[in-house]
Amino acid sequence: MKKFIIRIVLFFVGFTIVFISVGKFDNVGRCKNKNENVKKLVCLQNFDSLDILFLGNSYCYSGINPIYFDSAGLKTFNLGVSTAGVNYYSVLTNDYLLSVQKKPKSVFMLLSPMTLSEKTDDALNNPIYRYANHPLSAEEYMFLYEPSLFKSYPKIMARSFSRTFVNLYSYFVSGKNYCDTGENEMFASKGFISSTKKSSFQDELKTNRFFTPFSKSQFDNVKAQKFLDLASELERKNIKVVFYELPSNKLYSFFNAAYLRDYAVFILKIKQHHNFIFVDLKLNDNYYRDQDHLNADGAAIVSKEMITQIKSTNDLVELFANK
Amino acid sequence: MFFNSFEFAIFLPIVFFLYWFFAKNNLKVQNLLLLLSSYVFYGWWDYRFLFLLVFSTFLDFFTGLKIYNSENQTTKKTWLIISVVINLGFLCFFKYYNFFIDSFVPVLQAIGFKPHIWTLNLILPVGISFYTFHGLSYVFDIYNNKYTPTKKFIDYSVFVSFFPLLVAGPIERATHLLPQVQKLRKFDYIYATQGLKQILWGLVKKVVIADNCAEYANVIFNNSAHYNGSTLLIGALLFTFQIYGDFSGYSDIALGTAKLFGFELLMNFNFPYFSRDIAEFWRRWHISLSSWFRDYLYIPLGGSKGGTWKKIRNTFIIFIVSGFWHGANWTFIIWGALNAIYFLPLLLSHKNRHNIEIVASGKLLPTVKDVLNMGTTFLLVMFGWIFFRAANLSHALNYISTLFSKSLFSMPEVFPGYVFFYLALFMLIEWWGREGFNPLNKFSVMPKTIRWAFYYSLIILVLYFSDKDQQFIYFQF
Repeated sequence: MKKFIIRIVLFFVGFTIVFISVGKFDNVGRCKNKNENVKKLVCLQNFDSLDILFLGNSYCYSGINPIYFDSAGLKTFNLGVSTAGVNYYSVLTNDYLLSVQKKPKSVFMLLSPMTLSEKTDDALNNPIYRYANHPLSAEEYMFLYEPSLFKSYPKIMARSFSRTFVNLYSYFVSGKNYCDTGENEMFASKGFISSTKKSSFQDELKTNRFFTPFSKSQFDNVKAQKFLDLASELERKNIKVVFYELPSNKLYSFFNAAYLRDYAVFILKIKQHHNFIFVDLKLNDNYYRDQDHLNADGAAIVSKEMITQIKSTNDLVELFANK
Repeated sequence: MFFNSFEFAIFLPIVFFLYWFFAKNNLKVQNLLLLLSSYVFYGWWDYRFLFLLVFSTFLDFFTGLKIYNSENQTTKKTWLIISVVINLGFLCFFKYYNFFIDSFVPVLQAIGFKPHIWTLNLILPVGISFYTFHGLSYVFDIYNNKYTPTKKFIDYSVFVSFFPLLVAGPIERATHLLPQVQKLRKFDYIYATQGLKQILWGLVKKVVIADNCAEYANVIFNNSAHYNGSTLLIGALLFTFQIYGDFSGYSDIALGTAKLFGFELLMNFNFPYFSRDIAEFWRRWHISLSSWFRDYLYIPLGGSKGGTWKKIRNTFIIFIVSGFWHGANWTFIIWGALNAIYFLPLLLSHKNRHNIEIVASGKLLPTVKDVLNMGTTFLLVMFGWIFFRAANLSHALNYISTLFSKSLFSMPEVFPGYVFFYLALFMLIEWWGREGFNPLNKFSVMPKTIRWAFYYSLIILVLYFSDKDQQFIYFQF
């Protein structure tokens, strides 16, 4: 028995040391990382003195094209990151503020039914806090933002472990250096990820499995409160906060009625204290690249509509000042 | 509590520690601890159904004693019937009530009756099919004078409720497990490490193989009307590996866990996809259920003795009942009948026991004939799984008709390359270790560094894929 216990302890101590220490190198070679979200983060400091910093998830980076805002005289950057919710918004905003000289005039935060669900801030598949200019360790992120994740700690570290090898491979094999303005397309697109694809039924079938679990989602009141807290924190720093929602194709149909009711109540609460822009356009499948994400044509229409709404909102006209 | 859950990862070491540190010299305490742990394990899912488990345990314990102590055959038979009727009554009520109502009310209505029957929104108690069969085997064995009943209720309760096998088997026999329950268990290092390796391999089967296959098999089966034939072929192939990884993975974890407590459970899977004919497949697939039906149904019916029609009848009965045991759906009945059709030619031509040894025993590679036989058997089994997986009969028939259409020769619309990579690797390791009960034991001869590195890799793979949280398929049975 004694031998068994000693061997088991040795086995698992050895495993834990190898497992965690290798996983700590998962953000090695950031400049050579091909992930679109990481490419976006490595060029953050080049987008100083913004009028608008857009925060959001994939709906944001597919749906807001900063080029149109440029033409309207607004300096913007699209910091939309896959699966981002309020925790990631906070991580990204902090990282942005630490990376630039001058804070932005405003931060626009995307809201959608998805951003209040448990599927956001996917630390398992998209641990963006590891790739920030001022990265957080997995333990720091959990401690500061989501203590419940400690239950999934082994899973998170297993992903980090494998990412270390993938990133090391990219580091030695990839010729491109994405910290270089000429090689990283995010510099030119200002964070917008364009797609010319049009939604098809086959695409919908493939992506259905990501959406169907939302039918069992429960509205997360803790996350809702965190949105309000983050907004207050930014406003204390004299940064204007605007919430916005983009058109969606089938997103609402995946959520249950109770969830959508709670979401509607939350939006009403947001509207009482903050500016809320809802780009409520009914667009057909030709404007979506898949089940729900806008393609380049959809993004053009939506971006233009959003500029119109900003112009027509008294409280936001100041964003155009000094132009 | 599921074997692949965080809760079980906490529960198992606690019970292990208490068992070997506080109960190692006392059989009564060992059994009491196992019983309490088993009830916690079961109650974690739904404590309300614990009473059903305790009642079933008490029923079989009591009727077992009554059968044994009865002087004449009529009284013995009466107690046996009481046990069977009540056990199967519960099973039928929870598992088959709605099926019978849904299936037979339209028939009664069609012939002029107007039955006033209602369906119930029943929850199937997890493991009911398994613990009912444990109990039945006990009373059958006592009735047939194969076993002397125990007078210790705790011992019998551990036999029925032992947590590794409680919810999805293997279906144990009193003759095999109860003597182990009645003897003080001593810790055995080799046995315990074998148990851990078997748990690890079971987790690989479940989390890396079954759950990854499930992700795509579910998409394809649930949307089969929208996919071409080649995609449906991939769906059937993935389900074939999903169900193997899922169920044999569960059995491996159960066997490995039992070993940690000094028990040896019945082997449930023995590399079934390397079978060269259907008879061999059924000797290697869900062995504890197949042998249960053989001993308590097939042989009492006359088995393969008697005339051709009797053999055909008995074969159909055992396969159809086996299919129906899996669930209240016509798809399972057709799946059972299909396997009977596969099996009968072998039985009638006396070729059903041609392939007893594992394929290519003592050799590295199989012969061409073996490969062809294994391939044919695999395809037949895979075809059968379409019925098993389909939601209903029309779904299965539509699936098959699209599968065998021209579109079978078009490019698949879903092709998860990484899943096939892991499947190929998995089957290679299974092939390499097919002559033992666990392929990981093959690594025992390797230097410790390589061995541990391999185990580390497997653990990381399990952790890597463990976010899918798919339930074990056999929990629903």
